[in-house]
Amino acid sequence: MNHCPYCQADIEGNWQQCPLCKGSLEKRTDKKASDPVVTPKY
Amino acid sequence: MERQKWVRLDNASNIFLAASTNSDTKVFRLSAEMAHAVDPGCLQKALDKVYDRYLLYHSVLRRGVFWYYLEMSELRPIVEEENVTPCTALYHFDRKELLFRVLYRKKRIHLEVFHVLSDGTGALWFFEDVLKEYIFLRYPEEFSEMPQSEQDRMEQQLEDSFSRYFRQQGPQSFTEAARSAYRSVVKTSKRAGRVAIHFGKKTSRYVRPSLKPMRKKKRVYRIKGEKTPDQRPRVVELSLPLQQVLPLARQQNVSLMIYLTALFFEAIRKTSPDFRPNDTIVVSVPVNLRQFYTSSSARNFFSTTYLEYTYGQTEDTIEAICENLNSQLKNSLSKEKLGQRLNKLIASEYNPFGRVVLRPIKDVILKGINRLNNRHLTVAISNLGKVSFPERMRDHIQQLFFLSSVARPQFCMISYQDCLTVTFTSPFVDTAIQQAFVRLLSAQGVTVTAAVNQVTDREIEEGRR
Ligand SMILES: [Zn+2]
Repeated sequence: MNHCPYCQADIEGNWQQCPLCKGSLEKRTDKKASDPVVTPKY
Repeated sequence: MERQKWVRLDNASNIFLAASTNSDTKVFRLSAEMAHAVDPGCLQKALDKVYDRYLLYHSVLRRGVFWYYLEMSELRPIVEEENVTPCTALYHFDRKELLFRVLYRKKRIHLEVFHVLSDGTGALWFFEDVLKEYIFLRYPEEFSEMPQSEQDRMEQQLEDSFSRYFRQQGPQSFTEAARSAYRSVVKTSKRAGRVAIHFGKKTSRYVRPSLKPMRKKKRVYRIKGEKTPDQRPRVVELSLPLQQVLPLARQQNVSLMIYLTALFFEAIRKTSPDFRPNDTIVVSVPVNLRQFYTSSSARNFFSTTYLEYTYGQTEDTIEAICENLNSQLKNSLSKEKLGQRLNKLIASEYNPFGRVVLRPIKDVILKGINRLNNRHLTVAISNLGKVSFPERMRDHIQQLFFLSSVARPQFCMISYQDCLTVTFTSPFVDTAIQQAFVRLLSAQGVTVTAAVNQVTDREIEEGRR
């Protein structure tokens, strides 16, 4: 899971940048056990 | 004689049908994240079992010359792996199909329901039952090896929850299960002699009266933006620890729902460049009438209340907004106000307009009424409250989710154990409001975890990498 330092929120899913503020994400290695995608990417 | 297998659609549900569009399908979704990957075979068996108990869910929607009606069908639901966007339309006038679907993907189980069939609370009963059956079938060893005392306790807990709706009154026929909740409440009340109800009020009562005087004086802010390319909703799912958010609401002496609504208003004001200093934000809030009137109906049984806040009248602090919204909500939930609203809903059920006007004409009128009501609405919220499961089952469910198709930005909230899930859905690509909402929470020290779906071609492309 990634972290957005501007939103101060953990961001789930496969995002290159924060989907909320478009800022850079800090890559974190610890993975949450949950399914990381809210809706499938079709 | 063969028992009747159809029920005329109630007026309260008719409005959902008239208001449904390609982007706002009037479908809502309940989801559960399980501890392990979903076993589709077990899920199908669980669904089959529960489906047999819920005759309402056997309904298909048919069109007649004068009205729509729910007809009991012989169709059987099949669980499917999720491969469409959330809340895809469930009703197509030219197809005979069930008004709900059960989907799964990885660890998640979803129930999607067309609002014409049931409201969030009614659907939650069905969903809870499916999850309980699923857990029984998926982990049989855990329940067969239970000591007798624990089995008894669990039996009691189950009895306290899902079964009560049915065992109270015995098995229902299709027409009983599908009958309008507003008509059922009349039947019960008449028997008990508790409520005086007046029928046959004018159709104009469909139009929200509370907004009439407001139109001249206030400018209700409406959110505009670029719509998602294929009309899928933008979903922003926030997971929040209850123990961190509850104290914030308590500090303001308001409920969690009011506190989060105040933050939503602030997020809108902060991020909307065309927001004027004296604009009013209006939110619609469905109120579950089962809290106030005895009803075991799984049909729509709620009343919508509208809360508003006009900026620039006083110091626009979170405290002030919370206090203002809270007193409006309290006032709208007074016995008198609730009674008035229920009477109006019941009156609309007994209004002859619904029976004698041709259906296509009625569709046009209801669409017009819906448009009028929406003109003075900024956002919507919906709260399903806290859900619990019997002790032994708790660890098999990690989190619950609730979201809805939308015509305007909205959030739906539900909590389970220590996790509050607030899911925003919006017809727009932009996430500035949701981002501001997150910032307001994280600035208070709340640990926010956000999951956002990809909606634009670019996002979808990047997500595949
Ligand atoms: Zn961010």
